[in-house]
Amino acid sequence: MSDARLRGFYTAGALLLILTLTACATVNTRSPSDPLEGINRTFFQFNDTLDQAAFQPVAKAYARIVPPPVRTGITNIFANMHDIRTLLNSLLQGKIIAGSESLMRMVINTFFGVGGFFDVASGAGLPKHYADFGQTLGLYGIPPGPYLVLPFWGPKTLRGTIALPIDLQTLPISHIDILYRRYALYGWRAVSRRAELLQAGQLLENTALDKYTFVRNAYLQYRKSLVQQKDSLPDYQEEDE
Amino acid sequence: MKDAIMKQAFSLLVLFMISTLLLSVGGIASAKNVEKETKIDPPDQLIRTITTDVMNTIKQDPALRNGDLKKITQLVDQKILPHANMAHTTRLVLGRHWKKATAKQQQQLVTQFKDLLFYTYAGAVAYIDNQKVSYKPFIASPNATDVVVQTEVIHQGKPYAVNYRLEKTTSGWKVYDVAIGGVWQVLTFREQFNDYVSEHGIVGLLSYLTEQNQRRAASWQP
Repeated sequence: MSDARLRGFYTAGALLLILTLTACATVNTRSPSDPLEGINRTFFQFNDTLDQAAFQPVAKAYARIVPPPVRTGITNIFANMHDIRTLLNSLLQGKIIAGSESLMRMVINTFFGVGGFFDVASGAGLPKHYADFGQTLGLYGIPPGPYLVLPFWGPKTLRGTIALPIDLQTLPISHIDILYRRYALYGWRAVSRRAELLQAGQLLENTALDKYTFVRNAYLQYRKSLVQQKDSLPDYQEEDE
Repeated sequence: MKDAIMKQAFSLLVLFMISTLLLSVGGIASAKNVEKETKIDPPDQLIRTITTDVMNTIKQDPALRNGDLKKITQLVDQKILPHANMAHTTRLVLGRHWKKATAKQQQQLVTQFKDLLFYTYAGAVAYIDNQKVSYKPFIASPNATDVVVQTEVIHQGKPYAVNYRLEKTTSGWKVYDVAIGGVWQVLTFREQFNDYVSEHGIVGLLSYLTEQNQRRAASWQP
């Protein structure tokens, strides 16, 4: 990512923060992890509309046109690229096994899996891991901060938002110099991901009483589970009820 | 002579006592074994049995995979629900509002919530094919009454942690919460239900759920 883009990103971030802080002074909030609920809901609505109007139709068309094995192959290629991020962050987190397995996965999949199209490493018993810089920061003891819904990006925590530029750096696509190619690949990756989530989206549509709350709760739980060292269980505190 | 008889009598007595002791211990031991056999499966074993059974049933029955609602209902009623405690799940999901509901409403809530989950996951049956399930080592104290069984499902090359929370009841271990990828079902529903009841009351929630479930039953397509 160029310096100008980084700067642009931070400026936008700062503006967003000011905007939200002022906008939300009046909002009656219910969840302590979501003090910016008012503006978050606005962006959530925006993302959702965008998704239904543009993103979802494209993903559906993509899923219809591209046969499943090819789709899986393309998903694998993008997942293979993501293993770099997992590798670096695993090392930062001191997870040597996850790190070395990710390195081996990348080498094997890139060379024997035709650039990652075939996930031969999983077949060989090398498990896929997941790590990102937001998680690394969390494991270093930095709190998640408030829940944010970023326009286009979707759910994040403040910590994850701060980690976002660094996470982007560890994505090989971001280092492609030719601008239209870079964005074409970003777009393709996004469509490929969205196509994978079509079923899940339907499930969400059918189950959620309030989609916003549902997504927020699930997202925060998921992020928390990534940072927890030990499996801690939800305490339902029945005695208080 | 008298001494000899006494000695023999004594040793007979001892022998008798020892044998009774042995027998009773043996009896208790064997009774315990019997009890163990008819006794409840350990939670990890239970999850393994259910998972294997359900997945095999689905794989072998194309009607199930094509979304035959009757067959899916049968599968859920026979193989899943006996090992779940939906009443507990619903109670937890309702949280502090549970006690506001009358006994009849509570019963209705359990049924409606069960149906909500049913319609949510019934469609997923179609996607069961060659997922691999592995079971993490199960560690729990023998007196534990609330445990977590951890599994990992490989779906399209990606691992997903699927964990089950179980409680010990007199009729065996019962699942009352499930987490997929670290997201616990009860916790996710609880916040929404809480908000909804705060706004619309128990009656509102009940009619919402009933209407949703009816709509989905009517327009069911896998």
